[in-house]
Amino acid sequence: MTTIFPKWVNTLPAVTVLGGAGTAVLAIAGISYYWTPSFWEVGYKPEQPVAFSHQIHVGKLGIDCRYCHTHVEESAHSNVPDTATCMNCHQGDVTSGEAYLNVDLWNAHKDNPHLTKIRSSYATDEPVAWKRIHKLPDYAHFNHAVHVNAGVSCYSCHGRMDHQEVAYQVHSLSMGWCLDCHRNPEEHLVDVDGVTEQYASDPFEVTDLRRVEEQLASTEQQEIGLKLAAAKQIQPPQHCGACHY
Amino acid sequence: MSQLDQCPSSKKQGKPVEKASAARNVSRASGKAYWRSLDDLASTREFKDFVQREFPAHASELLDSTRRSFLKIMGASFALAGAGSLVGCRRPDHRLVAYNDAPEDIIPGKALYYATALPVAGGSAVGVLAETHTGRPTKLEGNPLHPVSRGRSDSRMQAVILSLYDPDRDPSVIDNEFPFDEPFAFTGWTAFWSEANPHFESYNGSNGRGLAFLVNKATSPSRDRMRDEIMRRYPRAQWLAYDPADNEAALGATARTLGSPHKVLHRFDRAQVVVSIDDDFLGGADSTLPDLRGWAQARIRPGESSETEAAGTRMSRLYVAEASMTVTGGQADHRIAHKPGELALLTIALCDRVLELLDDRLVSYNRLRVACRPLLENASAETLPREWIDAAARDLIGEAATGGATGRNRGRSLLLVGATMPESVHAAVMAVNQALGNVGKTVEYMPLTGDVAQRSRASLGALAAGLETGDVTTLVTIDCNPAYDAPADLALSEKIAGVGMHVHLGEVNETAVLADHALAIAHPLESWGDVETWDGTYSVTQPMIEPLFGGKTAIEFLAVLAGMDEQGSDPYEVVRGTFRSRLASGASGNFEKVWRKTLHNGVLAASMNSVRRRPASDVNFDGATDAILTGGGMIDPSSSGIEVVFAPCSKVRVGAEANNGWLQELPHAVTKVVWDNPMLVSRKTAERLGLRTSRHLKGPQYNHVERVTLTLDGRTMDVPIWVQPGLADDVAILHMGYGREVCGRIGRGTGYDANAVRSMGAWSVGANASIEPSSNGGPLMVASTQDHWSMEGRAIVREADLPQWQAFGDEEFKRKDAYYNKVDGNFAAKLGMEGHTPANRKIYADDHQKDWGTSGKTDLSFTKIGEDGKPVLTDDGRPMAMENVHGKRYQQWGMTVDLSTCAGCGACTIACQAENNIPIIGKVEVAKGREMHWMRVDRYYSSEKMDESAFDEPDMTVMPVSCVHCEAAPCEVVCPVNATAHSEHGLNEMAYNRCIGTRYCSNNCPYKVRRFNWFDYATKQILGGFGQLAEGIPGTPGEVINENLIPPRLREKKKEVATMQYNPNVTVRSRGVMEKCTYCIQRINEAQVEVKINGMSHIPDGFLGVACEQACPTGSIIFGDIYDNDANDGAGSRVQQSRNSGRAYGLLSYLNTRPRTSHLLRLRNPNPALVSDARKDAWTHKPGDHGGHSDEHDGEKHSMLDEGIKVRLPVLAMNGASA
Repeated sequence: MTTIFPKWVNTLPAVTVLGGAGTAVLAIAGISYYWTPSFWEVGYKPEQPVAFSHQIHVGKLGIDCRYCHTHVEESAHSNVPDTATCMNCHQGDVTSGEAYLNVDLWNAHKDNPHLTKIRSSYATDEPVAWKRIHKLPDYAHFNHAVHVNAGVSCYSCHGRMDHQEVAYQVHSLSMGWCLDCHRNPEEHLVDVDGVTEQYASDPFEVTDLRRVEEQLASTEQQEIGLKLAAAKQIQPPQHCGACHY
Repeated sequence: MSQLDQCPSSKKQGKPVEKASAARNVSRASGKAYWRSLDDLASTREFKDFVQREFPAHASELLDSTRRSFLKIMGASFALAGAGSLVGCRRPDHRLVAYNDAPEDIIPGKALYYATALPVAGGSAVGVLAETHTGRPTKLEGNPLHPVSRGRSDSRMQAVILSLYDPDRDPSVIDNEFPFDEPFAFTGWTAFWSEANPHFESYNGSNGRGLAFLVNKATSPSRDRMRDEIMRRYPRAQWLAYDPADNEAALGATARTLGSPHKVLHRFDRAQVVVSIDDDFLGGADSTLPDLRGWAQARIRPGESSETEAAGTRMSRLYVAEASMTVTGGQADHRIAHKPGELALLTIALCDRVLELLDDRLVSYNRLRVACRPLLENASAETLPREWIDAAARDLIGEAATGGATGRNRGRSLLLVGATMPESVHAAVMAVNQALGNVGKTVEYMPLTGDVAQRSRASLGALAAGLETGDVTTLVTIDCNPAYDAPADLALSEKIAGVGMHVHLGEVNETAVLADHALAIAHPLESWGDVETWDGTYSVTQPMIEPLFGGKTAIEFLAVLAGMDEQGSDPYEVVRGTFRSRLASGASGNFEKVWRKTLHNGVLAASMNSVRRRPASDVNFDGATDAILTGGGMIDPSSSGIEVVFAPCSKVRVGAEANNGWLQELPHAVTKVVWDNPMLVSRKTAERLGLRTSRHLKGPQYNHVERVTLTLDGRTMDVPIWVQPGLADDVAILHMGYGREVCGRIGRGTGYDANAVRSMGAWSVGANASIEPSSNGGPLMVASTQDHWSMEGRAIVREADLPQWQAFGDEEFKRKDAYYNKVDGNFAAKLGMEGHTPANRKIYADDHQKDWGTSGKTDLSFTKIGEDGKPVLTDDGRPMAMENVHGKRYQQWGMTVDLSTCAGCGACTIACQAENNIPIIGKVEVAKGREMHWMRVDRYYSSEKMDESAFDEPDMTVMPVSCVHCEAAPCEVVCPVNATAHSEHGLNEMAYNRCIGTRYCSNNCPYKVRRFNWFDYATKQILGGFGQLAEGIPGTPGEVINENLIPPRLREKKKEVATMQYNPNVTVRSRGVMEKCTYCIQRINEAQVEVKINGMSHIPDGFLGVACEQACPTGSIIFGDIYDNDANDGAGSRVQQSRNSGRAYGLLSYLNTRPRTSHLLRLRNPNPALVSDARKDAWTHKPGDHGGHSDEHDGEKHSMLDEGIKVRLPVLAMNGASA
C-alpha cells in the first residue's frame, strides 16, 4: 500500500507539541521579560561603577543611613551622597599616609581601585554616575520625608541594607504593595522619636534595621502600630491624587 | 446662503435680530443677553454646529489632506513605529549623578527660591522669585517685597521662563530654516574681540566720531554707567535709545508742562472716579501689573463703618472712551467708542467742561479754555456726546448733577489719556489733573533721565540721517530690532545693511542677520545685572543658571568696549561697583551686609519710597495752553478716511516675545484670537467697505476671514480683518509684534507686520487710510477660541448694579437648600436659575462615592455628620468638615473667583501653563478646538437691548473658568475605568495612568473644562509659520508640505533644553490622556507633607497658593479650605468668607453638581445720570423679583426652565435612562 503521508509525518505530533511548548515558553518568557513593569523587578542588582558595600558601611561600621542620605527626612528624594561625603573618610595624602581613618586601615585601602575612582572623581570634578535601582514611573510620586517622619522604617521598603554587599531592590514597587501598607499602616509603624514611650519603652530609630525587623515580626506590632497611628493621627491617603498627579 | 443674511446687519433690519436672539436661548437672568461672538449673537448654523459637538467637527481627524499625502505621512508613521518597537521595552540603565561637592542649601527634591528682578520692556522692572530645582529655574512668581509685583505677576512675566529655555536662541538649531543663503551663526566672543578691538581703537583718534549705539529703552543703572564710560572714551559717539511702542505724546507733554520728560504714573487705588481716554491701562501698557492691582483695590473695597458686606461696599467708577475694544473698556461702567481724531476733541471738551465747572473766572483756566474753543466750535454733536462729557466732568469733580456735595472727588479722581492722543491733549489733561488736585495723589510724575528720557522718533530719525549721510560708520545695536520695528518710511534695514561695520548684541532677529557680527545676549535669568523701577526702586538681577547659549550681557559687552580689563568688565563686579556708588554710606563692612540683604530680598530697601517725586503744584498751564494752540498732532476731525491705530499687542508687545509659544497661544484678552493679529474693524465699517463679515468663508473647521489690502500714506499691506463688537467706526486696529520674518520657529510667519505701513508721521495713529478687498488671494485663516467650550448661553455670568447690591445684597433666601448649601440662598442666586427651578437632587446622588471616615454614607460626604444624621454646625451655623478615624478634619479645598475685579488679563492661564506642564499645540490645532489651557478666560458681550446697539455698544464681561471640582461630579460617574474620582478633600482627581481616553468624562462635563491630548503635544516641537497655511494645503498645485499640518506625533521632538522648564512635580501627559485643573494638587501635597513633618495638624490658611491665585494681579482668585472655621481668629478662611458673600454663586449650580469653585458676581457702578430708567427701576427691586416688567418675566422663566430640562436630558441618557 502506498503511503499517503511520508514517513517524517510521524514526527509531526512530537514536533508540534514540543514546538508549541517551546513557543509558549518563549512567549511567556518574552512577555514577562518585556512587559513586566521595570519597577516591579525584585532583585534588580546592577553592577555599580564603584563597588560600594552597604554591608561594610552599615552592617560592620554601623554608620547611620542619614550620614550619607542626608535629606531623607526633609525631601521627597533620599539623595545619593556627593563624592565629598566619601572623601570625609577616604581622603588622604597617599605619600604621607595621613588620613582621617585609622592609619592602618587607610594604608590597606589606599590602592583600592574603587577608592581610586572616587578620589579621581573628586579631583577631576567628574561625578560618579551611580546606577539607579529603585525607579518609579513618572506618574507616581513618592515622598521619602513624610514616610520616614511618620515612622515607616527604611527596613520596610529597602530590607536589611546592612546585609547587602551589593544593593538591590527588595520589594516590588507595585501599587498593590504600596496600598498594603496604606491600608494597614499599623503593620509597619515604628516609633520615631520616643514620644509614646509607654508603648515602646526603648524607642529606636527608623534606621535601626535589625531591631525594626525584630519588632515588625513580633506579635506586639499590631498593638504598638495602632497606638502609634492614633497618637500621630496617621491615616495614610488612598485617593488617586495622593500619588498620581 | 451667506451668514450675512442672518446677522443683525442684514437687509432685514430690526425684526430678524429679535427672532434670532429668541431662538438661541439667550439667558437673560440678569436682565441682559450674553453672547460671545457675531455668530453666537446671530445664532448662525456654523455656531450651532460648533457648540453642539463636544469636540468640533473633525477634531478627531488626523489631518486635512488628500489621500495621497495621507498615505505619504502614514508611510512615514509606520516606518517610525517599526523602528520604535525594536528598541526600548527593556529597562534602560538610569543613572543617578550626584554632586561632586554638593552646594550648600540645595536639597534635591525641594525647590529653592531666589529673589531677582526682570526688566520690563520700555523701562522699569518687576521683582520675581525664581523657583529652581537643583539649579534649574522652572517657574517665576512675583516677589512679595517688590513694590511693583507685590507677589503677583502678569502674563508676560510668567512667560519669561519659557523664553529662557527657547532652543531657538541658538541659531544653529534653526539655521537651515532661515530664508537666507548663508547659514547664520553668532560670532564667537574671542574671534569677535580680536577683530573688534583694533576696529574700535581706530576711533580713539576721532573721539568716536562715526560711532553710533542704538539701544532699547531700559532702566539699568549699571548699563547707564557703562554708557557714561563709553561716552567718556568716545565723546563724539552717538548714543540713541528707542522703544517702538513709546508714548511719545506723554513725553512731549510732560516736557512742555513740567520742563523735562516725565513718566506719568497712576495710583488707581486712590482714585474714586477714573476717566480713561483710549488708554488701555489694564491691558497693554508697561505698568500693567501695579495698575491692575491698584484698580482692583479701588473696585471692591469694604466700607469703613458698616455692619454688613453689601451696605459697606465702596467702589470706584470707570469711564472709558476708546477707539478699540480693550480690556479696560470691558471693565468700564460707561464706555463709548470714537475714532482717535474724535477722542482728542472729546478730551478737549471734557477738559474744558471740568475747568468751567471748577472755576470759570481763574485766569489760567480761562486761557486754556480759550485755546480749546476754536477746536470745539466745529465739532458735531455726534462727536461730542454732551451728556456723557458733562456726567464724567461732574463726577471727576464730585459734583452730583442734581445738587449735593461739591468737589468731594477732587484729589480722588483721575483723568488719563493713551498714546494715541496727541501731545496737546496730554498737556490739557495734565492741566486738568492739576486743577482737580490729583497730582501727587492719584497721578505722579517721575522725572526721567538717560535712555528713557530720549524721544524714540528722534533717536531713529537721527540714526537714519546719520546712516544716510555716511556720518555713521560703525553701528552697534544692543537688544533691539530696528530692522523690524522701525517705521517703514525710514527704510532702516536697507540703511543698516549699508553701514561700514555693524555689531549686534541680541536675539536672532531681522537686525542680527544684517550685522557683520551678531553676538548672543544673555537672558536676564542668566546674568548679573540691575534694574530700577520708575520710582527708583533698585533691584539686582541674579543669574539662576549659566548662560545656556554662551551669551553675554549688555553690561559686560559695553564694559569691554569702554576699555575695561577682564576683571573690571565682569558683570558681577560692574553691578557691585554701581551698587557701591549708590549706597550713601560707602563703608565697606556695611556694604557687604547691604549687598547680601539686597540679593536676598530682591530689592534695595533704601531705594524704596525714596521717590524723586515732583512737587505737586508745578504743572505749567501756559505750557499746556501753548500745546493746544500749536495743535501738535491733532488729526483733522473733518477727515473722513479710516484711522489706523498701531497698538502694542497685549501678549507679544512689539515682537520681542514673538517666539514665546505660551504668549502666542494665549487667547487675546478681547478678540480671543491666537497666534495672529488680524486687523480689527467695526461691523459697520466692514459693511460700508463691502467686506464679508462671516468667519466661515472656507470649511470645514477652520475660521477663514476676508483678506484686505490696507493702504496708508501709499504703503500697503495684506491682512485679514476681524469684525470686532464695540469698535468705533472708521477705525482699524493693528496690533504690533507679528509678521516676524527672522525669528525662532515659533514666531516666524505668525500674523502680519504692522510696521510695513507705519511711518514716523503715523507713530501710533495714521489718518486717511483706505481698505479694499485684497486681490492677492482668498480668505485667510484666523484661529480664535471665542466660541470654544461654550455653555450655550446659560446664565453663567451674573452681574448687578451697585445700588441694587447695596440695597439687597445681604438679604438671604428664606428657602432651605436641599444640601444645606448657604451660598445658594443669597443675592447672586436670586439672579440665576435657582430662583426658578426646584432642586433636582437625585441626578448626582453620591452612591458612587466611598464611605469615608466616620461620616457614613450620606449625601453630605464632605461634612461632619452627627449622631442624628444631620450636619454638625458651629455656633454660628457653619458646617464642619468630615473627619478621619482619628477625629482629624479632612481639609476641604475650594476656590472663589471674583468677577468684579477680574480684568481678563490671562496671567492665570499662563501661570497654570507654567506650573502644570501644559503644552502648546499650534494654530491649526486651536482652530479645531483642541487647546489645552486648563484655565480659560471666557469673554462675553452683553447688552440691555437686543437691537443694533447689541453689536455696536456691548458691555464686556470676563469669566475665568477651570475645573470647578463638583462635589457630585458628572464626569466621575461615566468614567469606565475610574480614572477620575474624588478624594476625601473634595478634589476631583485625575489619574493619568488610568485614563484610556474614552472622553466620556468630557462629554458629561457641563462646564467644558476637560482637555484631551489628541497627540503627543508635550514632547513635540510646534512650529509657527502659519503665514503660508493657505498655500500649504497638500495636494494643491505647487504643493508645499506645511509642517503645521503634520500631526505633532510625527513632528520633530522637542529639544532637550526646552524640556528643562518642566515642573518636576507634575506628570508630563502623553497622547490619549484626559487632563484638567487639579487645584495644583502637587502644591497641596507638598504643603501637606511639610505640615505633617512639622507636626502641625492642618495646612494653615494662606500657607498654600495655587498657581492661578498666586499670579492673579488683581487678587480675584482665592483658594483655601472652605471648612476652616477657625482660621483668621474664628472668622473662617479667606475662601470661606468669600464663599459666604452674597455675591457668590456656583456655575450651573441648579444641576446640584455642587461646584467647589464659586464665582462672585460682577458689580457695576453706573452713574445714575447716564442710566436708563428701566435699569434704575431694577435698583429698587429685589433681584428675581421682576415687579414692573412682568411680561418679560414669563418668557424668561420658560426659556430658563427649558434650558434646565435640556441640560438634564443628556445626563440621564448617559446614565442609562434613555430619554
